Amino acid sequence: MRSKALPQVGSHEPQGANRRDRSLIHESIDERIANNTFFVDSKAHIVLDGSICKDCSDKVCVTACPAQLFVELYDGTVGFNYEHCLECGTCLILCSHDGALKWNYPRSGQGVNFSYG
Amino acid sequence: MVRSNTNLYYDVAVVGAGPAGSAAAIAAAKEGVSVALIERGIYPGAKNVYGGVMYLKVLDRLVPSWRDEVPYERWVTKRHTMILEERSSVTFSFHDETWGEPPYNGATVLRSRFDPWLSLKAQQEGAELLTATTISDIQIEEFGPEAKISLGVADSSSRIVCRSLVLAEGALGLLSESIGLGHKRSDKHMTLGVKEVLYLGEDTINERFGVRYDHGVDIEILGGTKPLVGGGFLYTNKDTVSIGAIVTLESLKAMKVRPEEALEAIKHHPSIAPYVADGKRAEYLAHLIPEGGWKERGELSRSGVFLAGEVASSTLAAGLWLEGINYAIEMGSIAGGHSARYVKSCGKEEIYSPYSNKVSESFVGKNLRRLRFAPEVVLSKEVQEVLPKVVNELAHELFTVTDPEEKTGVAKVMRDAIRDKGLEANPLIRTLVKAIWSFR
Repeated sequence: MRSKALPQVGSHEPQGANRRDRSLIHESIDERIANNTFFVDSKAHIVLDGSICKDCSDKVCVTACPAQLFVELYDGTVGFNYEHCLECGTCLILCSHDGALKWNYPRSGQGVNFSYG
Repeated sequence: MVRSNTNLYYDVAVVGAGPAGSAAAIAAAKEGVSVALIERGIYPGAKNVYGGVMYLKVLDRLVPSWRDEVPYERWVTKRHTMILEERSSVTFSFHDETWGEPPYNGATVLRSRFDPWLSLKAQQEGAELLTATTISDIQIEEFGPEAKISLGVADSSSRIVCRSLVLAEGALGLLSESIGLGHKRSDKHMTLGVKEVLYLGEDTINERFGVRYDHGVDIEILGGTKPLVGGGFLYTNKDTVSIGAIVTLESLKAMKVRPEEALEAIKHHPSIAPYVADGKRAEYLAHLIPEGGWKERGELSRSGVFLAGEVASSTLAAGLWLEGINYAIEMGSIAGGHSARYVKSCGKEEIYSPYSNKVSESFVGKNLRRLRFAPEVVLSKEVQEVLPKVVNELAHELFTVTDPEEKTGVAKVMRDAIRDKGLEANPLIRTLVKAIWSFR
């Protein structure tokens, strides 16, 4: 049940113009969440329709998500993986496109499991 | 978890076994009705994140024995407010050794220990705790002043049916929103907290923070998250510290900077770094905070449903005072008692003594109303950006010896600190007046 952080090639690095010159982030998100516990639900609790994101000039989710779950893809759409979601809801509030995000909490006890809240 | 094909019936259901929910379940069960306390985590506290200090005097009525039983980390005896600039900081600090003895003031706790403890108190009063149960929808049928409320369970075909419902579901308020209650979610009045818990060991913490026994430190941080607008916190637990950044969603949107950047900025600040050096990360957490307070609270009830806790804007984010759990507990306790009496009086309780009036008349309503303009002031540009700059500049000019030049007078230092930075005095004075008025 306990999932370990999966390596995701390059996807968790801040991209291009968004990356500041003197970034203080020395670690990947995988290192940051390495000691977190997730019981990954087999069904995604958040579903993103990445094609809607193609017309979004903002793509604020890509930088704002504290778990770095959103990735801008080469064709302007946005890719998303729910597995290491911290269930904070930042994307739900900041996304300004109706219907792009379907947001629910994970089912019956699954999802992130905090020990130090 | 709830088994399929078996509907469960209760007088009162409480969604969310956080402090508000458990308090509600205790209060309702004390009235002698049947109570379900529903939690989506596998244990209460598994989904909860807070950055803070708990002020638990509010438990005196609900759990009189709490001082001997509460699973605390440390009693806070030192409280610092630290105003950060890039390479300097000004700190106001207060140490009170009596806070380490009964009746105590505030404590640091871990939610994975505190929340199960409080929910156990609800179970001891007779409430039934259903963990690993995510509520997916609410249906309400009204019969005059009474209601029949039915809750759908994700991953199950059975439903939980109750006559009154307390929603203590937390900051996002998905269920409350679905029935038109609660605060309006908006990037205008919500902030994102990102937190790390670092293991340091008990002795290291005692040495670095200058405390003994089970005494602890609360450091509130203003500034230091540039270019994001916000602040941070550093709290001592027993053998770990909780360090975090709290940034406005508006600035996250405008600056396109990662929230972790703010967390790292705080961790790396020269005034903070020595405290947390070599800390081993135990966990990384995130949580949204509704900071709007009284002005943004929205509707708190309709046909047998009552809101408590964060979804009812119970957080007091007023700079000087950063509280929330205590308000959530009081609000939950009012909601629980009210919903039980609502059931017993077939709905008449809400007509004769509405829930929102009870909240208004409690210390929760009184304090939140009194400080309703404070969140605006605290989140304003003047307080978040200008104040740290001016205060640090002032301290630097005052305390840097200028030999062989003559000392500059205090008045000139103040003038220079404001004007030479291209700042205007008027907005600052206006903010100051507003601040004094907001906190009066």
